[in-house]
Amino acid sequence: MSGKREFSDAEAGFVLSTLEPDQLAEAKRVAVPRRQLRGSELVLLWALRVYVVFMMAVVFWQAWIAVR
Amino acid sequence: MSITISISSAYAFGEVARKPHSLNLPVGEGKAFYAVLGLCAAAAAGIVLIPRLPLVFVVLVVNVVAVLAMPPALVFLYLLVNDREIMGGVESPRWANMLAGTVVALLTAAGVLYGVSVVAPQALAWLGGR
Repeated sequence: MSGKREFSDAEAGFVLSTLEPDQLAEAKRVAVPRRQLRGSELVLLWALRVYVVFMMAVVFWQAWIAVR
Repeated sequence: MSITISISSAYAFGEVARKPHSLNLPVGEGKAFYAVLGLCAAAAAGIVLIPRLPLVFVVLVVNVVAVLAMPPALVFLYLLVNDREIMGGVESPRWANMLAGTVVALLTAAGVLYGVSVVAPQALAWLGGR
């Protein structure tokens, strides 16, 4: 006796249907369409892009100074 | 930590490249996912093995970069959890939005202060009255 047991399709289906309400595994497969952002949201995201790029430059500059 | 970042990177790659991505996948079905994971882990291991590299400094810089990159991710999450179409009626409550806004503002302010301390350290001394 190997101790390994194969699941039947019915058992696998039961497990999936039991987990679905909590994990939404099937629902996550459905692609969500691209969202139309409002003007304020676009401004905020562009400001954050600029912030991140600028701060990365600051970090690498400081790292460069520290290494030298 | 490097494994966590490697796995996150592999998941992000899978999302962007629309390739199968999950640790539940067999290697044969998730080749791209496991390739990215392996490359990231190998790169991290390679960097750690560089002789005389100041690892504590590297860890500090990595954490600074992670914190500075956090506000955009939090704003994306904020937009996501407030999207009624996606959340289906369980969108984020007002108090959680205020808390999230406060966290983003504090993180951004800390980042700006850090930037000022690097670019113009005399400005902080001036603000402190010295």
